[in-house]
Amino acid sequence: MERTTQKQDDQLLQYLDGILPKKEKNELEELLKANTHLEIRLEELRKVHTILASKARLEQPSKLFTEKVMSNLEHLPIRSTLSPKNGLLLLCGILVAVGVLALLLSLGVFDNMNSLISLDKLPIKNEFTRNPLPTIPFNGKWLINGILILTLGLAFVLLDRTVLKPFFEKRSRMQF
Amino acid sequence: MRPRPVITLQEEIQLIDRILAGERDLYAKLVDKYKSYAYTIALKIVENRPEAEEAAQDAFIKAFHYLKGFNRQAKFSTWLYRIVFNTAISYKRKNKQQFQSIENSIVEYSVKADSEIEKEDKQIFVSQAMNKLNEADKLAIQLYYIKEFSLDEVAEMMGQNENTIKVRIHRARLRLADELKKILKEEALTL
Repeated sequence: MERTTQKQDDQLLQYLDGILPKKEKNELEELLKANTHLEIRLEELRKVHTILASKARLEQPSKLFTEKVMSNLEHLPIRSTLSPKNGLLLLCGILVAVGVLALLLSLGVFDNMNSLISLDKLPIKNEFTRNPLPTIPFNGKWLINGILILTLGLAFVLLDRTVLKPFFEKRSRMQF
Repeated sequence: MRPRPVITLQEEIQLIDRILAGERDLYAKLVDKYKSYAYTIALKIVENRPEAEEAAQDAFIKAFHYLKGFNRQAKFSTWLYRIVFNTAISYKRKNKQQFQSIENSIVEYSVKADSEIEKEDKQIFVSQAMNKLNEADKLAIQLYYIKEFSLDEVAEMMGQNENTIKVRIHRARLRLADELKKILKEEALTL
């Protein structure tokens, strides 16, 4: 069976919507008289148009709708208090802090922060401890490395919440 | 036909100013004016009446709290519909697995006239054909056919430009016509 062209389909839909310019409308009507196949296609599309129009109606919510809304007005829906702009600013701040820390670390500023923490020197009364308490080595470089890793983790979470998640949500909404 | 609004657009702006000034009870007037539109949009998206009601109510509450940020250059209705659309989409995502469309799942058994059965059959075929469309095309076409929403309102609501929506509606109708033809042919073969 012969198929209508894209252009013909476009014209038929515009004809049904009543937006086809007068000249084109007259030409199409002439063509419809001569072309049975086009006429059948118009009827198919008209059927869809009629069904969709008959199905479309404004739905009514429950009678207590307004009352329910008004009684819950104070219940603010949960949302992130961090706006994308503030999130990005915070993210930039974190990245600057990480950069400065990394720079200081590479310059060896924290290399001398090594010491031993003797628990025996802590002000704990002797009656509670029978054996001598151990001494714990403290390495400042490790501490700064730990802080750096935690901050990078936080930066990643922020990036996800403020940039990636909204971006992908928007993209999936566009596809919706 | 679009129902005659109880309050004009100018009055609506004044009403918003008074609500923002502290007369929060006046918000009920806006809710009354737009509740059926909001509910219809939500229902088309979540396809479940109780959930649509909840989503539409949530959207009104959100709109009340964000009212300060409403740009007076735009129409309040369009701004509100966008909030309803986004809220309903979030509901649909959250509850996708939990609910099944009530409209599609309830089957009533009763004695009906032939014309009624024919009408019902037609509705079933259309629903089948509709399910073949992608979500966005389906929603665009459903909203477009509700006379109360203009093409630019549908576009604004869905966060897409007018031409994209035009293409979606156009494509959806052609696909529906083809799907219906296919379904009816299959039905004829099984008789």
